[in-house]
Amino acid sequence: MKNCLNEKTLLLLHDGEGSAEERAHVESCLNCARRYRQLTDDIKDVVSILKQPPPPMVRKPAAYSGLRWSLAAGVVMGAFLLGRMTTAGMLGSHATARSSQQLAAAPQQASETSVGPSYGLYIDNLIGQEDDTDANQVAVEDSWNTDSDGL
Amino acid sequence: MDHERIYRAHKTRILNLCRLLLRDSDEAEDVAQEVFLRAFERLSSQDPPTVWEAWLVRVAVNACRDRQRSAWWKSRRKPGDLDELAPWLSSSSEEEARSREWQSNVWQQLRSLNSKQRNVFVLRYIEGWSTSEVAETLSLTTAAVKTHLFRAVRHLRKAVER
Repeated sequence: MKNCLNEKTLLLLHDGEGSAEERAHVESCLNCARRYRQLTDDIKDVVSILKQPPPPMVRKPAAYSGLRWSLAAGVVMGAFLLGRMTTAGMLGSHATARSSQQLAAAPQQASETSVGPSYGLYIDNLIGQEDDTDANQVAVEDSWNTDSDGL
Repeated sequence: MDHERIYRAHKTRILNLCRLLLRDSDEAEDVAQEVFLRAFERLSSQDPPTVWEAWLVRVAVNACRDRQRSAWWKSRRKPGDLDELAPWLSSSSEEEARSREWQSNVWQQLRSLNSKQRNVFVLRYIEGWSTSEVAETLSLTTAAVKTHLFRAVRHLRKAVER
């Protein structure tokens, strides 16, 4: 048992190689002779099977293909939603900025153009007067002038 | 006429060889057709081979190796991505079922070998080439051929363990 040949040497002997000493060992050792016979039979079986046409095969579906497609769809969907949200956010901030600018600019514009009537109406409501707009406008301007002088 | 004669005479052998060397039966058919196209080109040349069988086998081996080496093929064929044996639908005896199982196991084990081990085993034991012929064709040393052969045999024997 100690000098028994390893599998590689048995294969070399099967292929007509190996030393005379090794061959002699196989012939004298029952264990190696049995292993050698087994190796020869196995190779013969494998070769005879492979010399025949292969059995019908079916294509195995690629592993995790469903998962991969789901992930890809998820990534596309995520990118789409992110794009939408980013665009909406940008538009929203633009709109907010524009409206705040408009609000800031409104009194200035109003004072330059048509502030009179609107303030006039406001004051009309406050004091409950029903005079015509021009009269109100004059009164408001006077009261503002008075207030500012008073300060 | 020669075209047809050559094709009929060698088609099965070349196709089987390609099926052994490549893991995919569709690929094997593609390569086998490619081999015969080259043969027909050669037939119309001034220097056709005298022994067609040996010429076709060598061209088939080289074509399969080219296919194995191509990046496209490597990316397409991953280790786990093998064809599986179709289910055996007809009722069979126990012996027939066992034989069928062996057959299936051997082919699966062959397909799971790496390309060098598979090429060496097929050329050495199925085609009956010598170790030095295999080494020369596959650009390997004889020691490397013996090592690949040993690993292939060890792997394939698992399929026919009693």
